[in-house]
Amino acid sequence: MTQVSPTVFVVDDDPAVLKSLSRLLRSAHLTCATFSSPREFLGRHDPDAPGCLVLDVAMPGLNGLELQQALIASGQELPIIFLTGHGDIPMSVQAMKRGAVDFLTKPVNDAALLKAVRAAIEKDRVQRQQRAEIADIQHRLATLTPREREVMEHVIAGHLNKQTAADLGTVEKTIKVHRARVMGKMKVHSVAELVHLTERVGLGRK
Amino acid sequence: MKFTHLACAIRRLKPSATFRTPALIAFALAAVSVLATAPSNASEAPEDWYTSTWHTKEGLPQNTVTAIVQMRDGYLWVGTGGGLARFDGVRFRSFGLEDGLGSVRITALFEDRRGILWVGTTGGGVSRWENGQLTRLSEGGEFSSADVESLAADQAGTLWIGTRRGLLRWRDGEFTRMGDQVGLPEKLVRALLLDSTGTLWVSVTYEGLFRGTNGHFTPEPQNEWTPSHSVASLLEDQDGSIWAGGPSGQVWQWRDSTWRLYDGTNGVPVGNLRSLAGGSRAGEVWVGSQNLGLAYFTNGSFQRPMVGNDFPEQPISAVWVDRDGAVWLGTAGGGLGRLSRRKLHYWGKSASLPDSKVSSVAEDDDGILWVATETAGPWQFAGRRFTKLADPAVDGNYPYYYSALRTGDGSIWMAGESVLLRFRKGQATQSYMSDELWHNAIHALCEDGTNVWLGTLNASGSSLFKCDGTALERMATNGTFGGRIASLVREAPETFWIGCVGGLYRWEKGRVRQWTTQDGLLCADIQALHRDPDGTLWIGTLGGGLARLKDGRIANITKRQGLIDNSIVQILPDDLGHLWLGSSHGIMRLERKELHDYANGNIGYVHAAVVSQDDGMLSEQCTGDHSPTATKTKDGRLLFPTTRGLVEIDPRRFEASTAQMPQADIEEVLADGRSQPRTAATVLAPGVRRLEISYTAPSLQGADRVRFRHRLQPLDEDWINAGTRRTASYGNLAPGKYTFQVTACDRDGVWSQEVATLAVAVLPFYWQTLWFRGAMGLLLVAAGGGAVFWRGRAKRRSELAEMKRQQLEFVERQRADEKFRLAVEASPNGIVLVNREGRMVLVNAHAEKMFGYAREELIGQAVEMLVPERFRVEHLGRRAGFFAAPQPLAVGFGRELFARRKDGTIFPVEIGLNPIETGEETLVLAAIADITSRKRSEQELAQQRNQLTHLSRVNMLGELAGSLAHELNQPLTAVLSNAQAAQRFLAQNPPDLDEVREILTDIVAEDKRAGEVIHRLRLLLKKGEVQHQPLSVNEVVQDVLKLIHSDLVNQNVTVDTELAADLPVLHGDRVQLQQVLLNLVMNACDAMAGVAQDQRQLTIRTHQAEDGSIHISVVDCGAGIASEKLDQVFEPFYTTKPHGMGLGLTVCRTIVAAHGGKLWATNNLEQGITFHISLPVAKPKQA
Repeated sequence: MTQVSPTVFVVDDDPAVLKSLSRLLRSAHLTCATFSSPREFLGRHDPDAPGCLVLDVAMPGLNGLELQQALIASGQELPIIFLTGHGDIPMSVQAMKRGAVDFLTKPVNDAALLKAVRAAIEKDRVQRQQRAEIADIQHRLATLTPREREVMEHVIAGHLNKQTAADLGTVEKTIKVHRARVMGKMKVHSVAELVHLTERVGLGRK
Repeated sequence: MKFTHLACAIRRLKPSATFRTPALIAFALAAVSVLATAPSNASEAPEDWYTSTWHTKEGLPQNTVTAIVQMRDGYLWVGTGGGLARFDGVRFRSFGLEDGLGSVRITALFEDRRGILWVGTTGGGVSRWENGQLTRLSEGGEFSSADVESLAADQAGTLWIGTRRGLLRWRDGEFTRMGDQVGLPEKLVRALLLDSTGTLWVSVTYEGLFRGTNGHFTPEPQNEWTPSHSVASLLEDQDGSIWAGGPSGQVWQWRDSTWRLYDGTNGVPVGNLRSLAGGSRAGEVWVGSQNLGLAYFTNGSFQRPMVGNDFPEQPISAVWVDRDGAVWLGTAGGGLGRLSRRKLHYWGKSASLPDSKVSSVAEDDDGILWVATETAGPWQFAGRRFTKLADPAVDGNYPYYYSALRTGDGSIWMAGESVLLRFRKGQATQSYMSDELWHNAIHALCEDGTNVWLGTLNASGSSLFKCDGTALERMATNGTFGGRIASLVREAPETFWIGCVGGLYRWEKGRVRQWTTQDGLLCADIQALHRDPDGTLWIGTLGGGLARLKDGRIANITKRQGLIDNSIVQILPDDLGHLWLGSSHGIMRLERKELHDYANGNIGYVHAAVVSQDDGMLSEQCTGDHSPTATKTKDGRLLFPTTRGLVEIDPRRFEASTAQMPQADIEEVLADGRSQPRTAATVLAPGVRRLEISYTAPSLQGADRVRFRHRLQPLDEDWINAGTRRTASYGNLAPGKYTFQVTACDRDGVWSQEVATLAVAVLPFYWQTLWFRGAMGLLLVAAGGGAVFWRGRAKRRSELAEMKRQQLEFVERQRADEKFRLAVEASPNGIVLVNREGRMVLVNAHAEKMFGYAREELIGQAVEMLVPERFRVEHLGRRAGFFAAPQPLAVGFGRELFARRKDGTIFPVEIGLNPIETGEETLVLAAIADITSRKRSEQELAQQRNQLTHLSRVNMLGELAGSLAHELNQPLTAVLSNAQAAQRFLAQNPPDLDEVREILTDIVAEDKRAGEVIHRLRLLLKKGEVQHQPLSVNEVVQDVLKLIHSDLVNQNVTVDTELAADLPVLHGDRVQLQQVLLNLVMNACDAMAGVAQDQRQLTIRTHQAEDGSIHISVVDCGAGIASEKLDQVFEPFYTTKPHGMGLGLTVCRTIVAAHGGKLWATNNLEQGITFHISLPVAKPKQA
């Protein structure tokens, strides 16, 4: 989790539109940064900066949908609000499928835009929080030794220490030691808690 | 006393490093020490004089001219080293030994007060010209071969002759040598002058200047300030001063009983001052030097005239100032030269003005001229150059400017088609346009102190608007005034005079009163108005001359009363009480008082001082139809817009031509080629077959425009117009008495009242006389009958043979006439045969049918009855022009020409003109074709083509709709977001007003942007007439790319433009060319749909081909088309698109062809197609 306030990134090749959108956002006390092309955005954007993206669909060079794809490909899941001149249904479906927050037509009403932006920022905040938590879990996981990791997988699979010792070809006592270390390193107090954590990073029951 | 005076005079002189007489050096050096350094003589003033020259190839007897005199009858006499010549402005008539000269080496010419010309020669004494004849003063004796140097004569007939060997007096046929007994040395008398007080001044070389009164001569005292001993020339000026030219660059002036000396320090040219001449203005004296110099005395010093490079660079041996103020120069080897005072400056193409009508001009506070041009936008003129106005507010799409106005606050307003701009120093240009004003042409501007008033015109009529500097207000409904408002002048607040095509209006707070022809105007097509402070309104009309409206009464002034033209399009007063009128045939200056006098019925004629082509106007046609047009600058200069530039006249320096009416003069009579002696009546020997009379009218300015008419009574009942011909010839005159009369008209077409008359008597052969016939009769009776009978039979036989021959000849001629008649009758065209007077002498049946007149109604009538009223005046001029240089001519092709039927209907025609010489006179055969039906089908075809073009354009725009919607959506988005942001900023506490201000500015800009998109769209959708106008091809390309911008973006098409700079201006229809390009670009985009996104490359190139045409290519990189099918794409209904009409390219090709160009396609070497458009630059003929 980060303390930096969220920024609305606006990308539009029309300078007048860009300026007016940023003004509208500022009037609602939102911080915003403007880019005149998707390439400029990709070149200058800091992935760690929280916020959302307001993106014009039709732009020369890379268009809005292509920028969305590029972001997804690089793992930067910035929530996107698309703006389009004409409500092109196939395009909006595609964009929404890929996780766009909203698909608004120009000229855009302030209420609709601000609502979408606020929702996107919230979505980003949640996503970032989730990502931070997962990162924390993964960080903890990374501190485990391979043996401890094996033991943990048995624990979350619900095996008894005895079973685990047999499976791993060791004695129950050793398993107990490992298990205590795993619980310590993963900062959990119960097996249930451990299961919950590992589920969030995709381990556990498959 | 005398010395003191001279010192004073000398103190005013300015020393400079030029040649000085030795006698003067000491004094001049002293003067140098006293005086400050001389100011630079360099002047920024443009040339004030222009030069013309004549040489032997124009008829001058020799190129060394020694003496010049203009006689009171107007002729210029020129003495040369090889003969004497008389010049009438066109031809030189030479006189030699056989004509009564003692020698052809002419040295002196002198006209006495009785109009006798005295001619002095070297080695041949003196001859005199009187009553059209040269005679020698004496045929024998010692004086007949005198070497004459100078001449003077008094009223009583005494002639003074300065010779190489002293002065001679000739009185009552007796020569007397004036020698020692009267106090004169018998040496070379170089110069003579008999002044107005009767004193004879005699310059004797090496002896000094002598003054003769009462028969005795006394030498002038000789000192540093008096004329040297070798005065080369003498002159009395208009003020009575005596001037003497010295041998080495000094001039002395005798005035108030004192001599004054001028030399190089005062601008006197170096060298022997062989000639002096009095100027046309008081106090002006010209001096010519044998060392290439020429100067004139004015305001206390000598000035070099500012002349062009064509000034003859030869020693000057003679100078004469003629009655028109032109300075004639005789040069040693360079022929005869003339300097004419430049009346105007013409600023046009040579000063970088584009080829467009200048419609209006206004001067700003910095003296810069703002020039409105009719098709090339606004320009500025400063530093003798035009520059295109670079101002972002000037919209290149609307370069049609009609009006420029300077208002009291120093603003310059310019207006035209959908344009109203206000320029202020240091402030952004303001553009005023409302929906109401859009697509209006503003032809007239006028200021009332706070507001600017506009006269506008659109499809629904003319109207009046008011602009208070921020907003526009409509003051009259469309159509209040008849036709376009050409002129607008203010009478009082909210009271204006308005000149329209349909009449004169007075508008007072919405109340309108109209004046038309029913109110006394000769013509209701008003072009220009000017209101004097006393309430007099001057009205310029198109064809009806000038009118004055005063105290409710209209008075008309036309060509009949002395104007040069009846189309008055500009009226401009100067500070000197004149009105200057711009017309279709130059500019004229009239005294306001004289105009009033005429209008009040006190005089019958006004005197126009004329400025025309002869004075250097490149185009004589002043531009009208809008106001203000001509303008007066702060420093008093006048500027007149013309169709090809600006005319600048300084009214203070303008000198009206005082040229007298040219008077016809009979020069020579030739009978069968032999010159006849000039007596009161010319008697011709019997049997003269051919009589030729040559005549002229001396007119040194504009001589080539002098025209003549003559008649030989009793043969000619009426005057025969001879045009510029100067000979009349007659064949086989029957014995009898005749009177030949000739008269001339000046360049303005005014006929002189003076008629030159020559009585001619042709003597009969003795057998033609009555007494001879009587005697013969008696003889016959007395003679024997048989002999008579025999002789009678023989005679009868021969008479019979003669009769038969004549009969045959007659029949043959009749047959030829019949054939001609049949041919004329059978012609599919109307045929009209017109004589020199414009009367119809023959018409065919077709012409009868075409015009609805019976033959009898036409024969003998003026051909102008077949011309619509509004073209008649013009037609008269054209007819005169045709007869001046008759040659076959097709008229009406490429120009609309109309004829008028008996019932008054007007119909379009084409006419072929052919001159026919019948031996007696020149006739013109006019073949007239009625092209009504052809015009109609042409019109229908053009209409259909127009409709198809429009349909195709609309169709294409449908395809573009998405793109256009986007273009419109962008500014709307910005406007909405900005506005909503502003609401939020205002709701804040405290509200952020700075931000709101900025936002509002942006909103305005974006709104305009949206407006432009709509405007572009509207233009394309508009179903207008084809309008050919000058345009930039590159601008068309850029406009198209703007229109289709978002489509290109959406389709990922990258556009490369390679547009050649400095392409010539093309004449074409902007909308149609946009349509062609748009079509090609859209096609290219479609063609590249199958190409990878990052490779969709479109290239548009423009360049000028070697043949001058403009070439546009649109290159795509799509799939291409098989070469053999390349041409099919232009066929109608060929399409590759599912919803295409298949007409796009067909229409494109039609459009390009209508522009005289070509459209074709080629396959590219690698991939894709290139579409080529080639457009000729020259304006194509409209179909």
